[in-house]
Amino acid sequence: MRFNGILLGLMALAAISALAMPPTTGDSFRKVGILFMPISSPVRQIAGSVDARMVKPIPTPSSEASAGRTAAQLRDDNETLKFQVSALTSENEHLTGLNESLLVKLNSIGTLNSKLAVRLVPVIGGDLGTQQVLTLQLLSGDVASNTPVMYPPKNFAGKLEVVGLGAARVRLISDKSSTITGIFRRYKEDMVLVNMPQPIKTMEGLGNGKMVIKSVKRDEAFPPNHPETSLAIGDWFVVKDKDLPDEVQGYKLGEIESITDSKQPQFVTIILRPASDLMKLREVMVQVKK
Amino acid sequence: MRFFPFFILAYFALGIQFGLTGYGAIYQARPNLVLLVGIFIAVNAHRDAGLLGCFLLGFMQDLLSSQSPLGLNAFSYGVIGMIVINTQEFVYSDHFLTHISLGLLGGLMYALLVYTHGWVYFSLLHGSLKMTRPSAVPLVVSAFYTAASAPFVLALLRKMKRVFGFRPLRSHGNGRR
Repeated sequence: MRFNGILLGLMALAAISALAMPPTTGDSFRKVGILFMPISSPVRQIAGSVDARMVKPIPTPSSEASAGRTAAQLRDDNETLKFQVSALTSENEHLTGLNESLLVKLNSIGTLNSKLAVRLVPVIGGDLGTQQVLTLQLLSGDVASNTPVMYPPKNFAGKLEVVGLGAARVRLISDKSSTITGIFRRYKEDMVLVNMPQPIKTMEGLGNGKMVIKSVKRDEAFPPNHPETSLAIGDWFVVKDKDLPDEVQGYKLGEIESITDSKQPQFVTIILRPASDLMKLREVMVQVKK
Repeated sequence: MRFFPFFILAYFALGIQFGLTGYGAIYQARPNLVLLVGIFIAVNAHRDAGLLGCFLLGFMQDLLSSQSPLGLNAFSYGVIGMIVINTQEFVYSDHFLTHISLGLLGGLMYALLVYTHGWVYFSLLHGSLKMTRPSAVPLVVSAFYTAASAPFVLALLRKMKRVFGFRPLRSHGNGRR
């Protein structure tokens, strides 16, 4: 009877805590994800390998759109890309040289006290509920909350939320409580990425692996006098957020999957899809102090 | 019930559930392995040990969850444990139909508790928080997914039953029930 009383008391305490306490209560000791790493990490590796072999990856909207291209068109694109790569390589060499000489100059005047480096960090697990959250094995203490998290090649995944001893939690851009601002970009036929004229928009996570831009004016999405600047499926949405560092501005958030009429007249809703399933990421990139 | 093997099992279940995030999901729902372990404990262990086991499993899940109030899973698993324990005398604990029905019952009960909590918590008590309450569809799909995986998981756990030192039902102290 006494044991039953204690247990009922514990349950009552749990019920009161669940209703009264804010969700962040106990965050200081709820960083136990790293303790489960010996199990979760190999399980995630195995699941990732099985998934890569057995599950067909979801194509991006732009690759779906270009699925019907003829062999001649693809050859043409390929040639254009070769020229682009060649031009960009020489430009990159030139910029690397410039960068190195600038670094030498900056170091000599002692202005670079804290350098930043991007580190590849393994994902050890995620949220046990329905939130779009991942836990990273981050052994360095040189990171802070709200640090951007990216994945290759230049995609934006989310922001670090809780940084604990040995592990950190990243809230993905597809989570319902995630918001970020950005602009639209489009690949032109000559394979050049150009900014679209639409103003900065706020994107929210949908909680199902996708994101949404709510209530965009129809005239903004489809300018009546300039039909060539109308938004279309496959257009990119990239980071343009004043709360984020310069290094991640322009990183890809997702591609337009659909544009549908909003409940309000003269407005449309834009659904975006990230480059890959964010919940299946096995490694991400985090900016840490050197 | 021996608590050392219980904690090892809980550690494995939570670790696997934690590591499998994002994989094998249908409508963002995954089978709840931790709940199945709770059902296994509740259906086989002595009443007090079973209840405590379920509560502790929920509490450990609370520690691993992000942005869900502390105590939600502990309370939910405790309630599910109470319901499942009360079925001990009426069900054949090793039958696969029992596993499916208890998996479904536990999953739906969990979905109901989490959804109701989300509604009360975010709509009535803490409306100013910039967070969203859980959606019903993944929770309900997860209940069916859990029920579908219950026969496999519970059959595996049944093979390890002796490790936990469960006492036979007739020695559980009938006066208590």
